Amino acid sequence: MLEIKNFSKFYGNKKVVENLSISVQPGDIYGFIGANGAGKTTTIKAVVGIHDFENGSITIDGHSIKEEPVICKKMMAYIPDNPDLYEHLTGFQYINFIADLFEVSTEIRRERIQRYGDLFEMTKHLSGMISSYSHGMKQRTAIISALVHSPKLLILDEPFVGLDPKATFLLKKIMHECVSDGGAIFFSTHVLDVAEKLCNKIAIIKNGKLIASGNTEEVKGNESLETFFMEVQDNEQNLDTN
Amino acid sequence: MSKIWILIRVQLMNFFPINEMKEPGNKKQSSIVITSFGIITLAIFFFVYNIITAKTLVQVGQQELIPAYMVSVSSFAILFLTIFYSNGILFGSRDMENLLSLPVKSSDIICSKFMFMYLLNFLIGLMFMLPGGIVWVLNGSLNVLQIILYFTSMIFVPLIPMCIAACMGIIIVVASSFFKRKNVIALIFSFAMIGIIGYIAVSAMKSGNENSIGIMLSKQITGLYPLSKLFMEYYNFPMHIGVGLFIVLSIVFFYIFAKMVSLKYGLLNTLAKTTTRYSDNKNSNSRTSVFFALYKKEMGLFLNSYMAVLNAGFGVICLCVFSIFFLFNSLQQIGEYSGIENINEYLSNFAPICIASMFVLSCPAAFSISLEGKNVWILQSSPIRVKTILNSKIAVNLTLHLIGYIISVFIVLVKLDMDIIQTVSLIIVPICYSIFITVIGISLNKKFPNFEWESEMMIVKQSMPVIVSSIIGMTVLVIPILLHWFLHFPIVPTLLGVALILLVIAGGVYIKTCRLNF
Repeated sequence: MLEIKNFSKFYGNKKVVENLSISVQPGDIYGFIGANGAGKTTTIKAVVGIHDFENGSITIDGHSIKEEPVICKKMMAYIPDNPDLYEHLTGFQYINFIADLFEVSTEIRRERIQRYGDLFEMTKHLSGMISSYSHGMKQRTAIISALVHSPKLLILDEPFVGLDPKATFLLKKIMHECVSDGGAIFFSTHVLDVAEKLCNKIAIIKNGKLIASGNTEEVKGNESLETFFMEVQDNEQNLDTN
Repeated sequence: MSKIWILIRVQLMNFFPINEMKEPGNKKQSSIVITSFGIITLAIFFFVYNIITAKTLVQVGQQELIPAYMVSVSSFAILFLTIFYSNGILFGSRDMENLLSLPVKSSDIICSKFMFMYLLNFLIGLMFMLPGGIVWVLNGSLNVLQIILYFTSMIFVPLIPMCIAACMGIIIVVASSFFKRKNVIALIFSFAMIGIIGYIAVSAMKSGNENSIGIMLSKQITGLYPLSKLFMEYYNFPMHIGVGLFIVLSIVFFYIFAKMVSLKYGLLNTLAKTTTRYSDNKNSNSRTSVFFALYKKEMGLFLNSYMAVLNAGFGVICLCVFSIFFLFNSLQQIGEYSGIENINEYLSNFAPICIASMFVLSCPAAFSISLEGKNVWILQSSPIRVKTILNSKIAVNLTLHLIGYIISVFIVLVKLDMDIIQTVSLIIVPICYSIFITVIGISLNKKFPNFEWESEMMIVKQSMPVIVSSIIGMTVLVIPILLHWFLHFPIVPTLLGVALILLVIAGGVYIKTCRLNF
């Protein structure tokens, strides 16, 4: 589904991600873990076509994000860590705008907006301007707009920040539903407990380099993910279990 | 005082790309060089223009009016320009919430914001006062005190017009906050105030209908800005006392303004930041095309930005106002008023370029990509071709122009007796200029976007694409006129020829811009 091969990214002369390779298969909930400034968001933004990059390749279902960006983007949805949405639109208008860009039919979008709006308890708020929303409401609107076109691949950057416990629970449920339908999820997080319970695969990045990746159980071994993460933060040896 | 300085320093570092200039190999450096070139070109133009104006006053024996003239014109320019951006700087900028949470007095914040705005206006004032002052000093028998006071007064000239403009801004903020569609109301108030200022300027120009050129000029100057009277010499009231009084008045006026505003600064800022209470219960889920969805979004983004409509809508609104004025006044009246003998022929020849000049003033495409700001991730991560995004932004610009175009061309066609080639020129030339300036604006913004702005004012008024596209626009407006004046090219065919060349250039630039990644 998502293949990142030898990906490197520079900001000026500074190398922020170096030779990173990750493979996300259908059915995977893939957690991308690292400290602040490790290169998680840079990698995610390159995957979704926001950042250009110098070396390596990123493909979605065999299509290169560099060569065929429109085809790639049609297959995925991206939710950033801080959802800056168009504040002058209402929630309904914004979701419909995204649905238009993804060419979702009227019937399908109506059904999905109703379903996810109800699920996230947003239906009654969607007529209001986004500028009047709280952070959590914006986050939920961004999630609904991401789900309205049923993406094969969901890319999320710190998705649980700002969500209340119920919305967090619902998002986790939807993530499971998405992968059970043959989709895949790649998301960054700082919440190690969530990653440990939710992800079947994880990758740990430190200073732009991948230091561990593979099946969650194999990567962390008998330790908790938190203990393992703290250990690898101090020890840079490559622990790729693939 | 030290806190005010710290706040000003941060604003300057944020506004002027000081750190980017220092950083070797920074991508923004080419954009900074082009912007600097554009600003320096404009500054030189104004400097030379004001030297010529001052020298003309010397030639007609009115050199003693130079200080009053320069104070009057620069104050008026500062007042007019400040209305367009005072609210963007003083209230509602993104850094305000952070600043209000810091242990800094409101008066320090308002002073720092005001002083930042002052620095920009001081440079505008300098472009008038310095060249005028040089010509005045070189052509008058002056004492040292007069010279020192004149050059000292340059520091104080921006204060009063800025305070007046800021007060107008406050009235707009407070008055519009009572309405549900506060943005629309704020725009109506703003344009009404600009209209009032324009009316005062026109009235001042008409007031000097005297036999003596000296009396006529002094009436015009003081009509435009009454305080400029303090820069005139009287037998019982020497100029140095007047200038001294002007400096004291400016300081007192500014002090009272800062104190009064700081008392209610939090409230004013909240009113400016309060988002519209508008909600839309007509929740249509109908599918539309990608282009139309982007166009609708783009139009909403533009119309919801007070700064964008105020600045980029100005040219088209002026065009509509002038056209309506033209409709309700007879050709004879306009001819008498303007002093042009064959007004029908004159306007038939120059109407296309007049309409085009208003389009050059209205180019939202030049900041439309930057206006996405932090929302740009939505377009970047969506499955849309760059061409479709650019087309939607171009379409909004052309829609704006279309409103002015239909009204003005229709009125000109009704009022003037034109031959076929003049009619063709009237129809084709504005369209070509409109397309050209829109494409140049969007391509410059595509090449040099700025998504990290704190206030829309930064991209709408002072960004590199806006400045450079304005200079390019003015240049292509002047070219056919210069060819007509100096090389005696027939104006109508020249206009048509230049317009068609611009259309070809626009086509080439458009194709090249569509190839760039978003």
